[in-house]
Order: sequence, then structure tokens, then C-alpha cells
Amino acid sequence: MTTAPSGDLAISTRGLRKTYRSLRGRSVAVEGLDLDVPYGGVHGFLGPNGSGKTTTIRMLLGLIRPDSGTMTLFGQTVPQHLPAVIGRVGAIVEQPKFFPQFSARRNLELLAGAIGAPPTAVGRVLTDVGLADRAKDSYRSYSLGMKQRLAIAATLLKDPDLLIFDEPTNGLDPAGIREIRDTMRRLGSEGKTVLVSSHILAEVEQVADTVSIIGHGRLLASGRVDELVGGQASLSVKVGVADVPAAHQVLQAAQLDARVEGAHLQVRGVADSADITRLLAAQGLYVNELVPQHADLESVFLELTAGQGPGTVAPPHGRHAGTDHASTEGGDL
Amino acid sequence: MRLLKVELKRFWARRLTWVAFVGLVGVMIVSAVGTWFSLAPPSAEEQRSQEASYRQYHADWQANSDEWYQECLTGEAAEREALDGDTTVDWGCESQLVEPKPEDWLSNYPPYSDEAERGVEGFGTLLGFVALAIGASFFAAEMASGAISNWLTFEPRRTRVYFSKIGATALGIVPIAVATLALSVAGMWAVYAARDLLGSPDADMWRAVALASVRVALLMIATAVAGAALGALTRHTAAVIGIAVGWVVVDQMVFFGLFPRFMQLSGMINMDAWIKGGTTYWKQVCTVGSDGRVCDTVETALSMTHGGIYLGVLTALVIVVGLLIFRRRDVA
Repeated sequence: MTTAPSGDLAISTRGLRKTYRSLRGRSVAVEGLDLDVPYGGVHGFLGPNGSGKTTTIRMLLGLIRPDSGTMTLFGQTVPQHLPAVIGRVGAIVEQPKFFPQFSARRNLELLAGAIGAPPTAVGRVLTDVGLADRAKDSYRSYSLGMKQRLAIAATLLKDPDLLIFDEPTNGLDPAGIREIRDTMRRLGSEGKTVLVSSHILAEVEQVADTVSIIGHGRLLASGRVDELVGGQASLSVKVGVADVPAAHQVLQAAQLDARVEGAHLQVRGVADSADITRLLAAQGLYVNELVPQHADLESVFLELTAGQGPGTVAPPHGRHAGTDHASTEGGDL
Repeated sequence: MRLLKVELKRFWARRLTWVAFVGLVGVMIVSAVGTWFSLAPPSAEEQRSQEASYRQYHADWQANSDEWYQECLTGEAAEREALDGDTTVDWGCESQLVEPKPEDWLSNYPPYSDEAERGVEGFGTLLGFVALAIGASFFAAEMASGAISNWLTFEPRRTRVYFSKIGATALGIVPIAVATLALSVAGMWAVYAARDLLGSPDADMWRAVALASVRVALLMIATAVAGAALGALTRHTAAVIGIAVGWVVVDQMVFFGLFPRFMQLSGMINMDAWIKGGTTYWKQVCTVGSDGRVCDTVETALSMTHGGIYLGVLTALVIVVGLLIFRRRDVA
């Protein structure tokens, strides 16, 4: 396993842009994306559907040409130097894709042959993902969970330092989801870098050390999960009181951000929930329910990606040091 | 080399490769069986009927040959006069004086030594088309299934990937060509031998058969790699087959219908020239004279070399276009 000094980046993009053109017009998939993925650990790559996650991943892997911008993998500019680093990268992009009529073993043997991996590697990775017993069955006969496992097996053929998983739990049952989650955690703890792109935030929150959130092809926020959750979303408190309108007036008079939600009040931006009870008690209003609502990644995500239109501003850079990039040039791979 | 070996392995692991191969073997067997039955000697009744026809015609000839000869000479002279004394007009009247022979009426099959080369050439177009389909499916299936995107995450150098597939197609089709052509030659030889119709096979005949086989094999390699390149372009085997069929139709319309003057550019005629080691076609030549515009059809030769260069350039062009598109295309 190759290690690198802390602070190094496994993936970095600057000003990445991709526009799809069709008879119906232009569609900007990625618009000036500045993405940094630190070396080692699990990095969540989050965004709503159509935000440009898969397009970004495909550009990093040389499957799609960007219109402009720069990309590096392990400090090497890609796509120009992609052949030099591809051996350190394993990826599953959207649905796993193999030759349907070939068996799992044959599919992996072909891939292993392409990179010069020893024949024993195929048996090893099939055992690692629990498909050794079904290795001779055709890929076509596999369930979705088995297909995902085979895709993971393929990524492990190279013993990569960077694994990119694009929506890896799509269509899986809870057992399959847990398996994928455990695999990602294990790989991250082994010092590998795992980039997992997903819209299932609860899953990402459980495994990711750092996340980047994008919307409309732009970076909206990036950093450690605990920092993002603590910094972006504010603590709010659910307050139950007999006279809701009166309590609402009292709290608003005290310059607190209070909203009526049904039979309760939702108070945001309060440092200490005891302040609420003190204010209300002073006016003869007594609290019968006081529930602090802690922020999670989902609330951060929804806050950042809500109302993606004029006026939305991306957070300032500064969570990761930038790197210098050469310009992207068209070149043969 | 490593990529080429892997691609060859995939080529031979594909079900369609084997289905096509077995299909061609079946065609060769059916053809041999058909030839067997077509070479069957006539039944006693057929022989009696043929002999009766011969006797009747011979009697007519004995009674009327002089008259037929004079009528022929008169007609020939009249046409010459109508064409201002054109002495090239020749009705072959002397043949009327040649005594008919019994073998002209009896079932008479040309021997193997006369048919061997034609037998190989006759399969050229079919084998070329099947090779095109095999090559197209080899590349197109990977594009259509999306497996190419997985492949490119292992080997991102698209030029190498492209030529490994083209190279594997070319090499993979060789055993199929050799086996089917060998079966075609052997099957035909066996049938003619069983019917005692071998004639006098000699070294020249075998050389001609060998050269025809080589031309057909090379055609198969060219159409297979062209099919693979088109498969990379269109991403669907059916589309490639459609292009091939469309090309035949357009070729016929353009060169046989609209622009017969440029017949030497017809793909079908050039392919025929290559397969047969040279061919002829009828070309309309029009001249303006005292009688106005007169058009005549003239038999024109097209050499094997012309056909070979035409097909070679066309194949190379398709390969290059396929490469340029494959290198730049976004892979989903």
C-alpha cells in the first residue's frame, strides 16, 4: 500500500466544466467545480440528482472529456497522465457493467489479463467478495447485489490506492447495503482513499470522514462531516407550550428566530435552551415540552441545495489548500 | 500484445463467434449435399427422352442444315448492309453445318477440374458478409452493454484498446476462413469424386483454387475488421448489418441506375473482381454520329488489382474513421 504525507490530495479539480449539447439545446452538467479529496479515508461526494457527480467521476476516469478545467489524481494531471495512475484507481460508475454472457470468473480473467495481474488474483478477489461459489455462473444470472459485489471484486484486482464508488448501494437490500458500508469503512481504515458518490445521506454520514456537497455542478461545501454539521446548520429547539401564540410573541420580542409549527414552536439559533424557558416563565408561560433538534448531514445538505437558483452563493474556498494545475489539453489516451 | 491476447481470448469465448462458425460449416455441408444431388446421373426415363430429342434434332439437321445455313448467311448480310457494311457483324453461321453430337443432349456435367475454382469464389460474398457480422458484434456488443466503460477504467489508452480489438478480429477470423474454405474445397472434391466426375485435376487447378481461397480469406479479414470498426462507430450490430445492406442497395442504384459511367467505382463489382481474380461488366458507351446519339453496351474488364486496392482503401478508411471517433467519444 502506498502512503503519502498528510495534507496531500488524492483527487483535485479546478474550474472543471462539462456541457452536454443536443438538438434540444445545451445542458451544463458541471460548472466550474473545484473539488479536493484528501488522501486516505472515506470521502462522501454528495449532491442532488443531476448535480454532476457521475459526470465528474467519468471525467476523472477519462471516460468523458471536460470542456475546460484541470484535474489531478495523486498529483498527476489527467487525462494526460491517466495511464500512469490508473493502476492505482479502482472504480464502479453507476450500474456495474460486464459481459452478460460470460461468467464472473471469465469477466475478471479478462480484466486481470488486461492489466497483467496474476491469475491467482481472480480467485482471491472472488473469495473476498463472497462470490467464489457462483464464479462459474453467467453474469446475466446474477442479482443486483451480486453484480455490485463483482464490480467491487474487479476494483480490487488492481489493489488500488483510490476507490471510486458511484451510488454503490442502489437497488441493494439492507444486508447488501451494510456489506458495502463495512467494505468502505474497512478500505478507508486500511489507508486507502474511498470516494463514494451517493444521495443516500444517512449511509454516507455513517462511513464518510469528509464530504463535498455539490449542486448544479458547483461545490457548495466541503470538509469534515462533524465540522459541516456543526458549522452549517444551527441548533434548533422544539418547544411545546399551552398558549403558542403568546409564547411566539414573547420569543420574537426577545429577537429569537421562532416559528409556529402546528401545536409547537420551532426556535432556531439559540445557544442555550434554558433561555427559552426563562423568557417564557417570566411572562407566566410554562413549557411542557423542550426537545433540542441536532443538525445532521441531511439537514445540512437540504439547506445547501435548497432553492438552487439566483442568489445562491457557494461557500468560500479555504477548507483545503489549492494546488497548481497545468491546463487541460486534448490528448490521446 | 497482452491486450491483443486478451481480446483474442474474448473473441473465441463469444457464443456468436461459434454460432456463426457452426452456421458456416452447416452451409458448406448443405452445399455439398446439394451438389451431390445435382450431379446425379439421369434416370433411365430421362435418358430415353434425351436420346429421342437428339435423334429428332439430328434428323432435322440432316434434312435442313443447308437451308438453315443459307438463311443465316442472308440475315447476316442484311444486317451488315443496314450497318453500312459493318464486317464485325457475325452470326456464326458455320455452326449450322456442324453435326450435332449425342453428348450435347445428354446430361453432361463439367468435371471438378473445371468447377473447383468457381466453387470457392461462389462462397465469397456470403463468407464476407458473415465475417462482417462477426466483427461488428465483437466490438458493438461491448459498446452496447457498457462493458467498454469498465474496460477503459483498466486500460484508458484508447488507441491501444481500439487496435487490440481490430487486431483480434483480424486474427480471430483467420481460423474460421481457413476451416470453412477447406471444408468447401474438400466437400466439393469428395462429391465429385463419388460421382466419378473429378476430370483431370492438376497443379494449375490446385494453384487456382488456392489463390481463390486466399482472396476469399483476405476478403473475410477485411470485412471483419471493417465490421468491427463500424461496430465501434454505430455501437449496434444490427446497425452495421443495416449499413451493409444499404450499401448494396445504394451501390446498385447509383452505379447500375444513375451513373453507369462510373461502374468501375461500384463496390459490388470491385468485390466481384477481387473474389474472381478479375471480372467484366457491361458498360454503356454512347457516341454521337450522323445518325444521332447511339449507345452501345461494351464489355469492360476490371482487374483483381483494382478490386483489391478499392477494398483495401475502403477498409482502411473505415478503420481510421472508427479510430478517430472512438478516441474522442464520451463513453457513458
